[in-house]
Amino acid sequence: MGAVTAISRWFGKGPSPNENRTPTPAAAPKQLRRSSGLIEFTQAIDTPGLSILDLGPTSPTNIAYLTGLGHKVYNEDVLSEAALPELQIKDKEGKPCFDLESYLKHNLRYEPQSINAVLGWTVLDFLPEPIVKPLVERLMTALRPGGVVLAFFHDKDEGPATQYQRYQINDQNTVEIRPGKPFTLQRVFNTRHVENLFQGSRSCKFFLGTDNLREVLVKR
Amino acid sequence: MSYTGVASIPGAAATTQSFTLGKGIKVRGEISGSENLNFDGELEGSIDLSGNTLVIGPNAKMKANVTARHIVVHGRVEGNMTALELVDIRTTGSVYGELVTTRLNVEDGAMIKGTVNLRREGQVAAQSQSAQAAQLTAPTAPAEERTISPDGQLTIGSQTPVSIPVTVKPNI
Repeated sequence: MGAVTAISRWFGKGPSPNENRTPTPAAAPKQLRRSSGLIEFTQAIDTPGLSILDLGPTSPTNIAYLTGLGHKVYNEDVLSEAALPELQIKDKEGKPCFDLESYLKHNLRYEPQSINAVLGWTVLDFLPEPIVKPLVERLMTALRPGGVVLAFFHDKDEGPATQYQRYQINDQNTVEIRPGKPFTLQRVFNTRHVENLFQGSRSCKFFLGTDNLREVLVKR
Repeated sequence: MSYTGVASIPGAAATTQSFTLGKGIKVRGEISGSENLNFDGELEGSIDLSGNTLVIGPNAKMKANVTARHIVVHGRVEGNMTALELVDIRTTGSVYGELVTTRLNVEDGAMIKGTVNLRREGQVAAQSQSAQAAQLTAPTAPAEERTISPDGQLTIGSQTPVSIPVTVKPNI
């Protein structure tokens, strides 16, 4: 024990030898959201041995949950991949544009009908415009007949309040919401837009939440 | 320093000692052996340490298929990874490829772009002996236990993950 610390203790100031540890901060409470779309999604994947694609950031929680159900998990953080600097190129007129060809060459490459279910979260709201349609087309090609896509869409653009968030499966009824990278909301899809995006699907089921999010379960 | 070819790390049996290849090392070829390995350099090829532990250091960049008993990832791996017991991906680790293992530990911040396939140890051993990593379609056996620590670290399996210190040698 240093001399200064010893002297401080004599005068009733400073920590005692047993109080040197920094108190561990209490874990922040989880921000949970009940998800009707997730309930139906987990019902659709209740047979073990399926292939599930998660388009959000790598989530230990989601991997644990899905592998715990006996599934194989594909993980592809499509938003982070789209944000890579090398994909921000210039067109013939020198205007900035997105290198879609390169993006599709390295991402979302799945055999047709190889995926049983997709967790899209709010990814489609934040993706650069050129990627949205090609991504959905690839997903629908990769999905097996009867396969499902769960996606969340913002009802409105609330400016800086509309932050990109990570969604982690807490249980079959709820997701935990965590802050994500600082991506900017690119658009707000209305119901008609979503239906057009997934045209060719067998069904599009909408679930309205009390917050700013609309959930959609698409079945191929 | 760079090395091209096939290197075998001698050792009569699996030991607790580790052989270290630091960040100044570049290898193009195949590394196999019966000793633990700390690798923090660049590798194009493959690593086969079926009975031992491989620690991929924070500076490591691999384009390789990797097989070991335990694999701890702090760096970047492009390739398929097969672990007979455990794959442990730390915060700075990133894996692009297929992961086949019986137990998986993923820290918050780690990146996986590819597939996670949990299997029983016998199934993993059988696969690691096959010539190519084919697409797996058999049902995945559920792991025994899953825990998430408050800081987001996932551990799948009944045993605690192995903690292996990384030894990094200065540039040669």
